[in-house]
Amino acid sequence: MPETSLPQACIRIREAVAELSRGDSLVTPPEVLRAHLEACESCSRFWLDMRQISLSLDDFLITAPSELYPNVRRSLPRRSKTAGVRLVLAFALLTLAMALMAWSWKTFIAPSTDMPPVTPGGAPGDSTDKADKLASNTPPAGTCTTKQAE
Amino acid sequence: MSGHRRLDSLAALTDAELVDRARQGEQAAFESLFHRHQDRVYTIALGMLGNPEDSKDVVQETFLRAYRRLASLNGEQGVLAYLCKTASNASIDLLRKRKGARSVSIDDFDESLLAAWPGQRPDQAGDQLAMRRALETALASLSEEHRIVVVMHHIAGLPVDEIAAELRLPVGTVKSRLGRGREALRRKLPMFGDKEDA
Repeated sequence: MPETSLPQACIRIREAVAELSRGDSLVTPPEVLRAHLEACESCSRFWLDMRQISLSLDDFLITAPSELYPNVRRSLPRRSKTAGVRLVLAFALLTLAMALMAWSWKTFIAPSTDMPPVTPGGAPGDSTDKADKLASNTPPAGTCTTKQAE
Repeated sequence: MSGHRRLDSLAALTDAELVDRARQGEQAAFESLFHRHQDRVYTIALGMLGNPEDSKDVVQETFLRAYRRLASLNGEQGVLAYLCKTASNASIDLLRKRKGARSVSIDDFDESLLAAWPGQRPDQAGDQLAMRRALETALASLSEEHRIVVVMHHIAGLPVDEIAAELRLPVGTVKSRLGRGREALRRKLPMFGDKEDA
């Protein structure tokens, strides 16, 4: 029977079958659908065929070509398990380098530019000479300065 | 452990467990996910595009997008659903680009699809194989508008409203195309139907 010349009842039932296979709620009452399917061989076959086609489509798979993964792997952004460890290590190295630089500065560069320390007890070199000069300019004990006389 | 044995041991894990391991940087876990779902993704792409080369690109793009979104992928159903939806979207994007580039006659398209579709597989036998082959041919011969909704609904498992949103079509149109597509398949499949219906 050509589909266009199907009775109206069959057309409605086939629409109901389509609704069912989409998981839509039925407009046609289920008992009407059942009664029609039991009575109409053509619609009953339609129902079974549509069900089988839906099931076959749900399971339908084509085997993908085997060479696909290497291309995907090459395009993956790098994501490493040890990324965190590497970060900590890099930070530790940076800290170490900075500490080394600070130590080098203090040990080798800073002493040559700083003023030498003046020790109260006198020390060899410049500091002693300066102390001697200071001592020779100091007035003898008992002599008063102008201010003191006033 | 060799690469093969490593993948075998991962095959027992669930999708969620594999995603978790991949997130921690275990690339073999991601490879295992790829092998588990590549056929589904490829079938969706080939079903919608009809071109094996474009379909390979879609597979690659789909899994790369999944890799970038590992942090937000979750759940057992989540991974496959995400892959299917992404493959459908990537295929739609490609179809839109292709249509923008040149107009394709549906007849030409279907012919190329028929040629692209995998052919005989002599190592398998039985009714299931016969059904699958017949389905391949019948799907390939559907019009593009019917084939896309049939593939998106049945193979990608997308609900009608989502398909409508992706294709920017009314829900009623998608439902009607789905119904007509399945009826067309029934007419084209030799084992189904009163042939006087056709």
